[in-house]
Amino acid sequence: MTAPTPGDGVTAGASQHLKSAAADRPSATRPGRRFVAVALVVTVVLAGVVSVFASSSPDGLDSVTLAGCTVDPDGEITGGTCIAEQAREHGLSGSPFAGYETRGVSSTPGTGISGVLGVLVTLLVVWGLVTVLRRTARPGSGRGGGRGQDEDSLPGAPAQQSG
Amino acid sequence: MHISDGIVNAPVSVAFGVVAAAGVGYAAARARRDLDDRTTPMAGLVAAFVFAVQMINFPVLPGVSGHLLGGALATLLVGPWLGMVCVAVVLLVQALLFADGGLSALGLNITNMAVVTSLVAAGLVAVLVRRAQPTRRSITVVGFVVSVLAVLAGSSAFIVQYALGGTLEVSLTTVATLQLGYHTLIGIGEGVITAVTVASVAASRPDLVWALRRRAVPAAPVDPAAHEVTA
Repeated sequence: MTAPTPGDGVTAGASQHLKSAAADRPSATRPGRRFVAVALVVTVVLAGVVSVFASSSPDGLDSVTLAGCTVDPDGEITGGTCIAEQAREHGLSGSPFAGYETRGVSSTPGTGISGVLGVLVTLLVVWGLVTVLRRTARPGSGRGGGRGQDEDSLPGAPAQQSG
Repeated sequence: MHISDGIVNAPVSVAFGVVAAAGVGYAAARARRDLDDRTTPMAGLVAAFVFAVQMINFPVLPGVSGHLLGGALATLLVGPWLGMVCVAVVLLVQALLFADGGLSALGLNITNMAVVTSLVAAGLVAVLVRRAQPTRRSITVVGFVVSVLAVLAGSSAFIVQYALGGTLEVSLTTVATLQLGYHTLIGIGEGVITAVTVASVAASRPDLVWALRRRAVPAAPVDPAAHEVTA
């Protein structure tokens, strides 16, 4: 790809970029099935398999809150003064997937199961939310209108009647 | 970087609950404008990916780990508004389903990990774009730098929250020093993850990277014409 030069070159470079992108992929909008499939497989493998090998040490913020205290191998505070002493137990700590485990399953597959569940729930919640947001954006037009129209116009919609 | 209940007092937690709700509410309203066939499926994929990678704590020092926050990554891929919504949903799912991150602390956590990181990332991208438009190659460096700074900004927000609503039994200087020290290292890890992820997406579909699409803004009027010529 050529570096855009000032002046006319910017427009030329930009349109060239657009042209080649359009030529490479006729439907440059939607992520293709292959892209979605690869993304989902990578995500599920990370949450379901790789997560089992995650470090169990406290993270940065937890380490800050534990500074000044001594801790036993299970992470329980055994002495000293630190911020974490103020922490209350989570209100949902008795729930079946609390702590990325799965009740009734040993911790290795348990973490993987809760990881995959979390991926699915997150995906569904965001998908639902985004679908609702998108649906409510059209009729309201007040916010969404104007600039976005060109990009949004559906194929077949008589958007650009010049004449 | 999830704050548990009880670390920050109730009034400050409530105040940041309001900040988080206002931030994510505004982001959701603005995100409507960005939703099209390209970004709608990307939002779900990005949120799911951030959830998955957040599970994977990596060691940064003996006895200290860190994990991706994801605000910078989400912003680079789907923009700050949709990105903020994605990370907020991840944090909500974590708190409700996995008891990770307190319930009264949810506003604190959404503020730090979704709102602040996304806004800082978007601001940095805007500044960088003014100097030189990111390309498929430079997006790797942009992703790294933006992530490190977004993580530092998000972790600094906790220092503010501790100053306002912590017991201060442990001095603010100690908390600030440790928090920023650890999160510099965690930010480097986040930077690598973001850079690799954004570069991978850019390699196969550069048009799916929000930070690369910004190039098309000044050239937008040219778009239909260019398309007609080729078609």
